[in-house]
Amino acid sequence: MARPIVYGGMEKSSPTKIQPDQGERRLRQVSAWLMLYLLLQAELGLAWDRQWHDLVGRDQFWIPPHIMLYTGIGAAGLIALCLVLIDTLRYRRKVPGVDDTSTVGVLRFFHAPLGFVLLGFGTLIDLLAAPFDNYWHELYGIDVTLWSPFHIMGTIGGMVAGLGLIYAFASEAALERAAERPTRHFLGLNGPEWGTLLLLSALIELALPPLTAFTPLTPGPFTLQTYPFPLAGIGGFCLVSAVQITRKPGAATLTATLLWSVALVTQTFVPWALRNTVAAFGLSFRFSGRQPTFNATLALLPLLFLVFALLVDGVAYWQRQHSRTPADSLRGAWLLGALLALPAVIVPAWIVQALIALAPILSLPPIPPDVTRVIELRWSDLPLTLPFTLAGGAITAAVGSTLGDIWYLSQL
Amino acid sequence: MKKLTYRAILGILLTLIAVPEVALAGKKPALSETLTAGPYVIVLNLFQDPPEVEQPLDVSVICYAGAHLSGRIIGIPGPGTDGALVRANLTPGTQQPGTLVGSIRLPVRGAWHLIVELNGSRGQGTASLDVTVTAPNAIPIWLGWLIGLSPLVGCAWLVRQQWRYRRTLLSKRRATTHALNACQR
Repeated sequence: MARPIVYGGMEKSSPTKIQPDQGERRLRQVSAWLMLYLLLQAELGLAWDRQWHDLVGRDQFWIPPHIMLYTGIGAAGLIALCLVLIDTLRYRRKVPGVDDTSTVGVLRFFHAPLGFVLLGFGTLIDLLAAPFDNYWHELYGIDVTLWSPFHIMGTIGGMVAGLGLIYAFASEAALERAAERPTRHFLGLNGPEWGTLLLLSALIELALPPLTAFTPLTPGPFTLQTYPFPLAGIGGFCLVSAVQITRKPGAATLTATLLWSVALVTQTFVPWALRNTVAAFGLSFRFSGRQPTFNATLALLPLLFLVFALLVDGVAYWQRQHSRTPADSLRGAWLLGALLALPAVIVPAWIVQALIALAPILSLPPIPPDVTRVIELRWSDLPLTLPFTLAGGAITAAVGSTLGDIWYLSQL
Repeated sequence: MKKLTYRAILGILLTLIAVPEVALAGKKPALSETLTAGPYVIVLNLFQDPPEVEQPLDVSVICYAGAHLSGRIIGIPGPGTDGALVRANLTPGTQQPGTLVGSIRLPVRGAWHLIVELNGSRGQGTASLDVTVTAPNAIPIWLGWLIGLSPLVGCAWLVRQQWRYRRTLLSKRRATTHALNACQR
């Protein structure tokens, strides 16, 4: 006897009638897409801001990249706040689709979907970190690094906001899978699932520009390369959870492809924006020999994730073929994450070496010195670097798998 | 009445435009240094000493030659100060002929060189003055890290809560699957 396909804990029904909660679905989905746009704007602003600090210097708070960054964060936070207030009202009026199964209680008064609550808190953390960060720069200087307390606070806020939006999209995706009405699909994925994959790719892209902050550590006679940690960590987490959220092989490769597009847009936009705004504001670059250029290393790094995504999708496809229930969770995700360690250590160093060799031949812009200083691998570094990267990849892939289960099933 | 309102608004706007000068006119300089800027002998007045970080530092430059001068003031980070170069234009003051006024914000605490660049009938000249920018009530580094990492407490709570939630979701799903399979049989 054929087994039923279980989607989001409910059997999929045939298309019948318009759902009574369609107003709520529309409200949440429109808000989620708007917030996705705003978070992507903020991410682009952040990449621009990093280069501004590096090449122009930090002379004041109200510079164009900060405006782009904080308007994105602030507007996303405002939308989250509005949705929390609207849904609290709708919860009290018992509007269809707004009840205890689709909202969480906050401070015993508010009721809203978990994703929007998290996004609100994430953006609040970011907005609180901004004046503190400004103050820290006043005290200790322009330090273009990730390792300052309020840069870390901002990063945590950004991560919480990003995870919140994944919750928001994932719950909508789960509801669409269970919906008693036809829903639009593209390449087998519904709209909110596409939103989730785009967001996951943006989360990976967030880890690329600060890679130069991961300088080598030298405990005793050994060298521990730390640049593979964020690559293996974020790659394991996002690509495994991409497959887990959708339960469809191919989702990881789609995410890696989207990542490549996001990385190309970022690396094209940043030098262009820097050159134009510096000219428009009558500013000058800090170092005479360093001009903003297309960062080929960061544009090519997604290749690493594409290799890993193909592996994750291959394993997911094989497991699906050999499983009685196609919507089963991905097994052995931690092992896949551990396998990412080797390419995470080797591929970036290969890319940098290849670009150094090819730059004079292909008239490519020179590799920034901070990139060549950080992404430099010797074979003697492997015995110490590989186990740490392996452990990091395994842990984050397991976390991605666990959260992916929640995101696939939860309608909160 | 309407005319009076317009005049009041115009008055406020004009006051706001002329604010640096209005402010300087009523203030005594906190530090005055006589400097030589090429062919000019000038008095550089700072209206805050020591200057505070990110606060507008009002300056006036008085040139005794009385020449028609224009110029700008540049802040260059001194040794040990991790900052970027800042500039501000100096504009002729209306209170006293031969006076240039301006305001500059120094963005990082520590040592700075203030460079005054002047242009006039006798040519160009530059003069410099070293200042130390202060930041009152600076928070210690450990407190900065404590505040910066404080959101992790909320993250830890969320992880614990979501771990439990996942178990509930998975057990519900198992129960639903069993029930559906039983119905199918």
